[in-house]
Amino acid sequence: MTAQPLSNRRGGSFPAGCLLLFFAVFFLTGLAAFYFATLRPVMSYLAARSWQETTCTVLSSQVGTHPGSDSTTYSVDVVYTYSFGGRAFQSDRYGFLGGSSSGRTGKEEIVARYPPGTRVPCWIDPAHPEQAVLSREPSAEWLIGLVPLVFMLVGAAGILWSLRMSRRVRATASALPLAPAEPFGLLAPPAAAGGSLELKPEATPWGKLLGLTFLALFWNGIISVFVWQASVGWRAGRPDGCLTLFLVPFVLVGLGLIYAVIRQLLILFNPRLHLTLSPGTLAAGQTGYLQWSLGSRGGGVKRLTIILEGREEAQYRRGTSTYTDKSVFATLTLVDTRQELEIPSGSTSFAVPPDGMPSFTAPHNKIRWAVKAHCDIPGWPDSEDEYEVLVRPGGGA
Amino acid sequence: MGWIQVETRDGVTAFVPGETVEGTVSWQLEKPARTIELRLFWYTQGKGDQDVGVVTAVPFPEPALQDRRSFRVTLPLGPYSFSGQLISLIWALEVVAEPGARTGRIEIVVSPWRREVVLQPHSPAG
Repeated sequence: MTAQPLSNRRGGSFPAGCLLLFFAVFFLTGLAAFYFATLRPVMSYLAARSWQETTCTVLSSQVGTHPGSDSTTYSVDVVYTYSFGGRAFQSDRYGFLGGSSSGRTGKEEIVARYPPGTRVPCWIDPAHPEQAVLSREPSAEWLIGLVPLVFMLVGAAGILWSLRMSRRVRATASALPLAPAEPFGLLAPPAAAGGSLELKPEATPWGKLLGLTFLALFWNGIISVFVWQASVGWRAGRPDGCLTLFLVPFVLVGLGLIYAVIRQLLILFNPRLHLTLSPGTLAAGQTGYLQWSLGSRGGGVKRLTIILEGREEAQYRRGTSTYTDKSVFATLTLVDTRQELEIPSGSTSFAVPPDGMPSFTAPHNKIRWAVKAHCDIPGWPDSEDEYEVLVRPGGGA
Repeated sequence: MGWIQVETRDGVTAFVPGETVEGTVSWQLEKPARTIELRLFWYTQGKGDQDVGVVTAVPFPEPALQDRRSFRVTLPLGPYSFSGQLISLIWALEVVAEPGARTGRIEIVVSPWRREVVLQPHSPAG
């Protein structure tokens, strides 16, 4: 008598709570930093357009020095007085951003414009006359908020992804006492019943570009903080060799991502391959027909290769990371041509193996079939696209 | 020492999708069970995290401490039993007595060829 029924287990675990918390921290940290560095100054700038201009008298002005553990930052410390509505006020606000930052020279130039005793224009909030500012002009420093904006976007995307995955896994898990109507765990697309089906690539060129750009911004945004720290040391004559050496592989990955973004940008100009499969859902032992179209002249494609591939996909967790391993068990070449007349458009027929394993989908384990197309363009990035197709059991099943 | 056992008729363990499986479940328990049921299900083994799909459950009402009951379940059209480089999918009939999660189980094969489909890496498919 064995213990622990196997049939009690469910495969639908997904650490949605942990991931949501992780991405929420990203989102909130990015949001807070973006708010204080960019959003609040911009909002103040817009509000200050209706403020009243008056004359202030500078009491004192100096560059404030704020030593830190890694570097020293500086601020514009100006104190001034002004009168509004018959009352006297004092303020020490120069601009809308506030705080301190690196770069002493710029602050010294500002302070030089406000020697003590001078009368200078300033702007007062008529509704709250205790609010005043010496400079209400936009500052390039506000753009620093775009770095945490990347964190915020990553957090938001992560939260949406976690919620979507959680819903999907819940739906699959609750369906695991399988509906007999879907014995292989998946639904054929409605248009695929028996007629032809225009195949859609799993990732569009624009989608890949956006994904890569996002990743490159995220990675390089983080790395740039440390590169900046290292560069401050080098410029101050106190280079940190260990930090610099440590950063090299990370910078190389960042450069690789930038290369990938540029490459994907170029791929946008490649001709679009249109594939039509008939029937839309293949069956083991059945003959399928594939039509392709690349435009009138093939767009510089010198070799077109299209294969049908069957593979296992196993998803597993190690610690907090999720991995997917793949193993191809069937490869069927549908098209492999260098003929200029054949490349722009054509059709081919092929036989799905009679003992071909049907498509199967469970939360962590899949049997997937896909049409993979490769357009070889000399001297230009090649196009490689994948289109999932469904293979159902043959007539004998 | 108690035991639970599942047997198919004539000891057949390979079936085609849609076929009816008949057999008997017998048990001898040390403590009474509130429920005893037979479950037809599949599960995966291998590199990926385990997936389990229960297709049907046949309850045996008012189970005695020692008993023998017959069952009859119809197999679905899929998935097939298969074994690949990363994943194996295994069908089984399992009897579960609660409370205590006392179980008995046999594995069966479900495929149009009455044998497990073996997925070889990179084998030509046409």
